[in-house]
Amino acid sequence: MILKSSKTCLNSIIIFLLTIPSFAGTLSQAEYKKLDPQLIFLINHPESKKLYHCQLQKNHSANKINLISALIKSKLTKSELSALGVKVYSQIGNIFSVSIPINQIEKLAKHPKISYLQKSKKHTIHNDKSMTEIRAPQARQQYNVSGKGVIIGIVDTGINWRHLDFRNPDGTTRIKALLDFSDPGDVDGDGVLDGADQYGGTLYTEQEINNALNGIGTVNATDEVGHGTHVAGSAAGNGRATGNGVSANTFVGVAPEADLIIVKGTRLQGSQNFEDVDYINSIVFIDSIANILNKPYVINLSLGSSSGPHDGKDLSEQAIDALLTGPNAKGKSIVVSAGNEGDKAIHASGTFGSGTSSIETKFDISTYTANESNYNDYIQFDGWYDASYNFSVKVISPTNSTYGPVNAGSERSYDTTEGAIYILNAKGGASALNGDKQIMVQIFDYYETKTPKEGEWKIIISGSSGHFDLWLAGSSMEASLTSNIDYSVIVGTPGTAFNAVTVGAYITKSHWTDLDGFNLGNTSLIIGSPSSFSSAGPTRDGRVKPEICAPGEMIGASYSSDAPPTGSYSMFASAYSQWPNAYICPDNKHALSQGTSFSAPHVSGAIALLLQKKPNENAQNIRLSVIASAQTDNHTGSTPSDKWGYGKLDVMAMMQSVGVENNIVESQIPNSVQLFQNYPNPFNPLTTISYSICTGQNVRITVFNQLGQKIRTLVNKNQLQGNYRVNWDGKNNKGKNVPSGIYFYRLVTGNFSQTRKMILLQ
Amino acid sequence: MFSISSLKKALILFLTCLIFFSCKDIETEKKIDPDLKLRIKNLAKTSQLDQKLSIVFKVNEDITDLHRQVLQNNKVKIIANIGHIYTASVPANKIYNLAKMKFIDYVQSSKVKKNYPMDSTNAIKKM
Repeated sequence: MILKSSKTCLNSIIIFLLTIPSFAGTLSQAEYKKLDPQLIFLINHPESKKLYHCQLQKNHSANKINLISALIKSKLTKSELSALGVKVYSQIGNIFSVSIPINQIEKLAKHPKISYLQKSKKHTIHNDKSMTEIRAPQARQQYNVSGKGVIIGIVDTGINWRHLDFRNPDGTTRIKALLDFSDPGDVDGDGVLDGADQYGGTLYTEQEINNALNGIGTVNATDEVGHGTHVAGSAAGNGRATGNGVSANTFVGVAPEADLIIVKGTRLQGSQNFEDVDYINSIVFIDSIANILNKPYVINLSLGSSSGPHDGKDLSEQAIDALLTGPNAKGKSIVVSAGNEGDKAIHASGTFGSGTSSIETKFDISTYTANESNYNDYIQFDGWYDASYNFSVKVISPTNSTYGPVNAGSERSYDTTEGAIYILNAKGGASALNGDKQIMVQIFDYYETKTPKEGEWKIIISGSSGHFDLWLAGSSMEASLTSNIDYSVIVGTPGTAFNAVTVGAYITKSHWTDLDGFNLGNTSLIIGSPSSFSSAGPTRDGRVKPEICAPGEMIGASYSSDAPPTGSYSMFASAYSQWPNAYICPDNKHALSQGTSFSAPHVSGAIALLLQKKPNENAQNIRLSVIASAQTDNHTGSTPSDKWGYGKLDVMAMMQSVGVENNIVESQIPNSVQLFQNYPNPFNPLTTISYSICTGQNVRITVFNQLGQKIRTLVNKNQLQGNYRVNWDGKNNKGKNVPSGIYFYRLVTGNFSQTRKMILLQ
Repeated sequence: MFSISSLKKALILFLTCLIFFSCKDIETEKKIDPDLKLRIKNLAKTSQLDQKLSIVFKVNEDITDLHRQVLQNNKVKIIANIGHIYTASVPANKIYNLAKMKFIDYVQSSKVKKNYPMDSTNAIKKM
């Protein structure tokens, strides 16, 4: 249907273009030459807006399309163009990216200092819904960005490095370095990787990959899972790969011209497990290569676990924050998946007092087949509580045997026929990690014959006052909580790192066509709503996580040929024998997958676009840009919220937020005084206040606390007519941080005065 | 043989040492991740304390050559660092030695993280 209507549009355009000379109206021959024929077409046939509308395939009413995107070649300045009614977005030399009112095209063509006007063209088809949903193609076009000059680091299951999506038009690779921790892996089993590279892996340079592409030498790295290739595709695939008659550029990632640094971070082929040390080493490796290349970077970590204190203090999270804090944090960002435990019973919590002195959390170990030998069948819980309290912990087995209580400051081990039971309760006092007290309960097979017993277990925590959180941190068998379940505070580690951008998922696709031509779908998926699996925040210390949600269900992206659906480790295996290729796209070069693993790279790609425009932007401002540009709708409701964070990713809005520190905003000249709502709001540590002045006069912007006391004067000077922005960093006039709370900012100019409210979260 | 005063002094010294070392042990306990402690405990039971473990540790001051020498003497092999957070491998029987060092804030086992794809068993239908 779409194809048919597109053909109709094209035919109409051709017919109209053939008749252009006879309609060229008031323009001289020389002026006519200055116009792209499609613009002449628009001038002479206002009704053709519908065709333009048809080309754009948008849902807007054609009547509302009074502006068009265009490129202008001109010797005029930005402000001179603005005075002609042109909205200038960017400039390279004498080429301006602009939007023009359709009724101004003729006037512009007559201007002696304008040498050519060209309608902005669509260069690629972006059929994958997630990209149009986040307005990535529009952002690339409007802001002339593609990720060029920016590195996207992917720490994952490897990459299909031969895939055309990761190669330049000349066939050379876009991968600057590829480090493989699975080659050779930990060969002697001593816990240390045995590769020649300093991190224990095998390193391939860009040159070696290019040589291998030309049949010289070999690159042994593969992606048998397909996960890393898919993640890289969403973030940076260029869509060149195709087959079976499907158009190229159908599956274009967010930043199709970014460079790539790939770390296969698993120790075994086909594994999806990552050691903390390995992914930290991966980050160090990517940072070092980016420094050598002198390029900004964003690292995508589509991984995590439910272990850790969930307060950003796990050492792996402290490592991330160390990298993203301070003067060296410019041009760096790390994006982390929120996790897929949103609908799983893995978290319990409780508060003592008001008659409650004992809280029972039940969990169930399902029937399972024990592994051979010992120390490989286990279930583990991690719990945390404030150091000012003393709780006790006991465990009750399926046979009603009681182990404990274990009081604060101690640990106990029990060798039982129901498995070995280890209970630790703040041994030594508050942890040196974060100053809180930690509970750990592990039931495991100390002897091969004494495996954790199947059935219902209970963990009973007692105290007089205070609060605890308890997570099912890991297990080798199917197990879940069956009582006292809390579906908040689920975001995994390292997703609770302070400066990481943590990403949840929502639904943008519910049906598709597979490789064999079957039209398949999942009718339970409601477009626009959050993915049930997407892990909710906040963090245990109350911060908003995830920051944002991005498309994460049935995402089409690069397909690793190392991971066919029949492969032992492939994530594209189909559970349906009648549709063996259910998740493979018709071109056989892209595939569908779901999870917060695949929402995160959408944000990584978006940040790569942002870094192209602002390569020295620091990690905290990047994070704030993501937050500030998040979109809300009926599905998100009011934000921030546990599930959505601040809302949905919008790449266009994010790019618009670039240049926040610019004092004056280049756009239309205002005709009234206005004070806009600050963003982000709530904020920490920086927010931006925008305002417009219609006549030149003294302008004062002052911040007050709730008592009406003046905290900070942000602006007090004469300003010309224009649009302005000013930042507030949460400090008073003496340069000291003010406490969290509600503050007011007031604009006073001439007879105008307006006050707005903002919230600082320290 | 011994005067009462010298016995008193010896007793005070003994008690002081006892309290000092008890406190030191408590401080060390707080600096080790419980998961790591359990791993060490289990390795001890099977006499495998010489097995290397991957760890992450945090220091409270910049590492000097002297620090590196001390770490090396305890068979701590540093792999990389971001600020004051280090990745390393170390034999299990050296971890308590490491945690006792004044410049060490915390020692954590290298935990396993997993990717976040959903399995493909969602109820799909022919449309």
